[in-house]
Amino acid sequence: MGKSSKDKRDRYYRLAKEQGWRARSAFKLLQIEEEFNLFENVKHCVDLCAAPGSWSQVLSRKLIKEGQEDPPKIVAVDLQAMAPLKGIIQIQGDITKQSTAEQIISHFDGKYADLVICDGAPDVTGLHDMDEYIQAQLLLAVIPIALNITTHVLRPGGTFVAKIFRGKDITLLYAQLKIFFKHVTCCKPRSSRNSSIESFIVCQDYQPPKDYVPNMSNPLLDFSYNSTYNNLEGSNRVIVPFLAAGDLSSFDSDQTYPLDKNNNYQPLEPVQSPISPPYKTAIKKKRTNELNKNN
Amino acid sequence: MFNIEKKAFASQVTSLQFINEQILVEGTGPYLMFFNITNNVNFKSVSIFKHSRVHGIRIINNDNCKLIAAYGSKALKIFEYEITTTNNNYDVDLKEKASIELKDWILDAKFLFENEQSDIPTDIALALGHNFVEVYDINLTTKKYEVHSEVNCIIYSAKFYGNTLSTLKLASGTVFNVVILWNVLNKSNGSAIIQEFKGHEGVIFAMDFTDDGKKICSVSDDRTLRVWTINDRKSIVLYGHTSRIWDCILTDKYAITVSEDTTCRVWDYNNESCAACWEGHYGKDIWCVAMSPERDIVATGGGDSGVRLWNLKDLESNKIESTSGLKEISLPNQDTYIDPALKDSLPKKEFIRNFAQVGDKKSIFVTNTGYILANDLSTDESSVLYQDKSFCNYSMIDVSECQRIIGCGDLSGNVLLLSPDNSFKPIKWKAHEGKVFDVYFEKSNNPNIVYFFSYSINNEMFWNTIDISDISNPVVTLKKKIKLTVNTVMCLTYSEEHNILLMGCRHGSVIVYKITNDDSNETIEPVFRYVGAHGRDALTCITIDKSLSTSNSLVFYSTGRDGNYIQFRATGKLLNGDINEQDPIKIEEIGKSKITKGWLEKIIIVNNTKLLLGFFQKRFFVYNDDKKYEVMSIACGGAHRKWYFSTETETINKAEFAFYRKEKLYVYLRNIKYEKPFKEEKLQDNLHGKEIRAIKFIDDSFIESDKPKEDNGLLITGAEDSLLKFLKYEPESSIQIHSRSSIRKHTSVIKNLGFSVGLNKLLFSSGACEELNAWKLEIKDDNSEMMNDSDLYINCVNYVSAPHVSPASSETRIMDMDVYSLGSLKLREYANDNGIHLIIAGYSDSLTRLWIFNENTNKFEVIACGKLTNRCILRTKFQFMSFDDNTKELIALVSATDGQVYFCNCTSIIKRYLDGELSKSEELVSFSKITLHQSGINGIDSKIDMNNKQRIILATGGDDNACSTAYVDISKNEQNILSVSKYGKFTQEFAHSSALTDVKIFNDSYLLTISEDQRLNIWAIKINNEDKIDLELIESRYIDIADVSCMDVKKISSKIDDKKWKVALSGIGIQILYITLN
Repeated sequence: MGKSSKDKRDRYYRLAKEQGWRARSAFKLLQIEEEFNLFENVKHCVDLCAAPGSWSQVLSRKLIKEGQEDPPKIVAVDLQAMAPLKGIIQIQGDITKQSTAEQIISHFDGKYADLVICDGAPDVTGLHDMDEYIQAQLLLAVIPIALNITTHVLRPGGTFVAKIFRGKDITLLYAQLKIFFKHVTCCKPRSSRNSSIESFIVCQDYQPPKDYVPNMSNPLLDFSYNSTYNNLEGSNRVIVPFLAAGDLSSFDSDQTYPLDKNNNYQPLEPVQSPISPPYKTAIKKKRTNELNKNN
Repeated sequence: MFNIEKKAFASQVTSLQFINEQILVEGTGPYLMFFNITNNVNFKSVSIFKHSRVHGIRIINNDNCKLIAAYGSKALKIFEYEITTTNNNYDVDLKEKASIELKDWILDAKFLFENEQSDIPTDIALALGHNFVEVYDINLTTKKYEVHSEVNCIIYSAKFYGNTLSTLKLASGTVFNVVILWNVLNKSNGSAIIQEFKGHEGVIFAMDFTDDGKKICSVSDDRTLRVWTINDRKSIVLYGHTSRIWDCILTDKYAITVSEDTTCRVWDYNNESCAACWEGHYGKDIWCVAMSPERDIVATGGGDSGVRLWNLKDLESNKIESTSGLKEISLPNQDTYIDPALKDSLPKKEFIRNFAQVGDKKSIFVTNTGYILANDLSTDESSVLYQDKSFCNYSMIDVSECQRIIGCGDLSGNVLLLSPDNSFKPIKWKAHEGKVFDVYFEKSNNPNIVYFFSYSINNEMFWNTIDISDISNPVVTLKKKIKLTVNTVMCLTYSEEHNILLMGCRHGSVIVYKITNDDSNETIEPVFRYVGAHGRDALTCITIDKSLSTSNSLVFYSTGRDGNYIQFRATGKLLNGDINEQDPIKIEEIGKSKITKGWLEKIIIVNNTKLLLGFFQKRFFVYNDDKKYEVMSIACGGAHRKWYFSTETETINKAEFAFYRKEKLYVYLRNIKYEKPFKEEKLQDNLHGKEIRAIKFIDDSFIESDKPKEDNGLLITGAEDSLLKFLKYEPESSIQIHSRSSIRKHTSVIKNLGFSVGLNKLLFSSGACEELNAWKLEIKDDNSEMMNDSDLYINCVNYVSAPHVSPASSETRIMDMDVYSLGSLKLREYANDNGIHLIIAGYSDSLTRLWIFNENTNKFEVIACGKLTNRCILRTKFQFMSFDDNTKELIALVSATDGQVYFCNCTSIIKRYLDGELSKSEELVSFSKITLHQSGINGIDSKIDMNNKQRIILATGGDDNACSTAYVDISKNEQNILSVSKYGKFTQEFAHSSALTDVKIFNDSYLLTISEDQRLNIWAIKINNEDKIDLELIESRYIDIADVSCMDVKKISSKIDDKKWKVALSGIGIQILYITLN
């Protein structure tokens, strides 16, 4: 899809460029924040899978103020490097590693995070069961780091926000999260398309169970369906409340909006170019006609 | 209360495995499907998992042991099987032996033996998603061994090598782009890792080993195949796929890969080259590949639900890569044939001017010096057939299909008939005043009569009859003079039954001539032109399909250099001879399909199979359009204007291809003797290559049949791949869904379908890019005792597209539509509105439009348009009401992403339009709205309360996981203005665990809901005496297709007491359920 085509189809894509956001997903966090007041009294915050950095950008713009005496500490972690942001401490590392957790904590002067957010998602394959599983595993790989008692990334009472795919086994993930958090809500910001399977899980009031000892080398695994706790089918399933975030006066991500009527419309360049894709060598070879093509 | 029975199913094919050279097992959804590939029969299908799909199949097949292990997600099952044979038909007895549900995702399974000599496995090893291995005994009762790799990360793929635990190795494909080969049973104290293979630039989706375990290949997100040699630093990197690669097989000779780009590639990796690129799947993704035990047959399974078989032996025979495989014919030494006495008077330069092919026997060529030579292909000897100065420097040549006559034309208007074997003396006469532009032969119904055409300047064409009853003395008589209206005739064909001559021209048009008498002096002129069938590109061939033509209709195909082929149908009085009638002939495009980006040159029908011939890039190809695969292709350097192809059978085991390039003639004589190891290339039909967004059962009333069936099994679907498809399943015999017809007209996703009956039976389709089309449906079922495919005729014809009404630059999608036939509605008692259809369409730019389609004028027109809300519209539906005073009202229900349902009264606008009182489109306004959801309403259905004519019962499904139901009482004042007098609603917030995508009311008070959570729920809508409305969950069922986005429900029998419905669910694939109320 060309830039102007995407601009027509997606008002938030256009808006993000107009307002200087690195990705349209910034609006998702903004709308979730509006609904849940996520940033209230946040002094320590972690953004996992941060690249290209639109959520960190939101944290930076919302939490860091000019002339603040004791500015909140924000740590952004990703495997990929990203362009620097004001007031954001960047760590390039694997979020599933213990050493990364320790590195995060080292920036907090012995304090714990009030808020951990994660907008990460693997490239989807198109096999929904596989994609949902990998997304859940990403989240569950993050959880030990977020909730690790020995390294105390998230403080008791803290909040965790992450992207989920509301697929066929989502109740298994809900069941698991409900062990650690008092309030679990599934939230869909209006800037996330109606037609998209993506949603966000907002987990509030972290209360780790007493006998829970997380262990990095033995990650949490999905629950199974069983008749007493979470049924495969029917009413006895673990379902969390749903909340549509963002008010109805905001733009509709599904709606086609006309471009400027006076023909003043100019497609803007994206704020941040896409990160290098895995197939860049293949593309380069195709351009230079080196592909081993049979036709 | 409800009995739910799984019937037909089709979805992504996620695993394939051969039992032997005859039997293939397919894993799709929760099913194991067994195929006999020698007769193309799916002899068994078993649903083995409750909520997983089959991602892998492992088979043991030896004299002492027959086991199948199938795994998917976290589930594993082991079966004992026995293949039985009766009358050449297979059956399988499948006994579940063991079953287990694990804590982690299974990526590979491997049967393990006590030792290398044993053929009965004792254990099974499983590779799991977090890079660990568990070994269970074969009964899955005891976990015997568990090991976690020292590399702690999520892996996308895993592959075992080894038959015993002590020798077992695992290759793990990590998210960090590395292949790690490690010993499962680590005997040393150090690391278990044997080798790490680094180089991929993306995650690894599959790996395979050679039999000896010395080489391993891996495929990745980075679109490469890499072949690694263990204990060696060297690797081979192969580029070619244009998208992600999902699966691979490695043998000593070949690597075979399947990709998101819908191709299967065979790599001759030792030579670092691609030996074949097989294209036979559609849309997106080939997920899996399997190879038969003898390594002759490859099977591929697609995202389009199709299963294809490929013959590795064809690699050598179906792709001719260089001219070395062809017979090269050059002119013999000039001294051997040029008469020395003539030499000085002839042109100095000698070369082949033109050629014609006499089957596999002879090549005939005309030289620049006017010699016509025949090359005997068996002896490679050339001899002079004829010489004439007038054929110097220019000549046209053709051979009759019966191979008995050669025809030529020269620069000065002479034509010549020759015998390739001197059966008769050359016949030459001056036919034209100027250069003969071309000559053609056309066969007649009489084997001894051949038609011969020649044309020249002054737009004149002569049509001669050649009687060859006596081959030594052919008799030529003029049949007709033809007045041409085009400069260049590309092709012609004659239907003797209809006395109609069809001509194709350089500018893409079809020209029709009619013969009404035997007067040979008459000059006939065109009676009809079908302009621009192939745009401005040349129309290269017209072929009549006799099997589909009748005395009242002539069916023919055209091919063009725009890469399309078109199916036409000519009807009208002209066919039977009446030329004076007004509109004597009507030509309709019944189907059109783009086959190539190159030139499509010809269509031939061999044994009822359509073969399409053309050129693309540097190759000539033969494409089987019925089975959708390339039968053969030959590197011929590019497109040629003069070429020849002929075949005896549709499999083209015996065929000839000839072309002329750089002064040489190249002939390919194909004569393949071996038997194909399977019956058909297409084992299971390709359905849609992308998500299905609209599905409808076809009502019995749409099918013309002598013996109507109770349950016709016909479906129509529209999808993201922009195809409209007619599908059929056999409710009683198989779970398979067959593709019966496929129409490409939409350029983007088809989101909605609707039927309406007026003068004809109509279908409407709509979707993205604001496309809205009307189709005429003609379905005929000659229902014989034997269920034969060819007995069902589906024509979906005569489309009319609605004009674009949004500003040209916008890319507005039609989100939903509903259709009503005004003829059956009878809103006006005083007039006949038959043939007028009403459509309500909701758009992504928040507008809602009311369209009229009139069959009499074939025109679409907007009669009302409104902005009911400032949000994207999601659903639109009509609800008809009749009031106590016998007045009728048509209400439109419209839902949007704001969670509201809007009520619009369409009646007055329609009436004023029909009465001719509407001069321009009106504003569509709502008279009421109710809020039912937090966000988007994805599904809406309604009905009139059985006991209260003024009450609408409404049900909706939302993105917010909720299902709502409401009753809405409509009242009417004296000015006929509608309003809601009373309503009540109930919302079940936790209806599903994900977004609802569709809802349908059935059996008056029951509701079906579907959701992204892959459940189908059945609810009872209850309204008590105090008008309190409620929803009660009756049933909940896991469904086997993902991204389920639409459904249709239909009562199977018209009998009132027969409480049985069929439900079609679609998304990524289709599932059909039969629901019976007990």
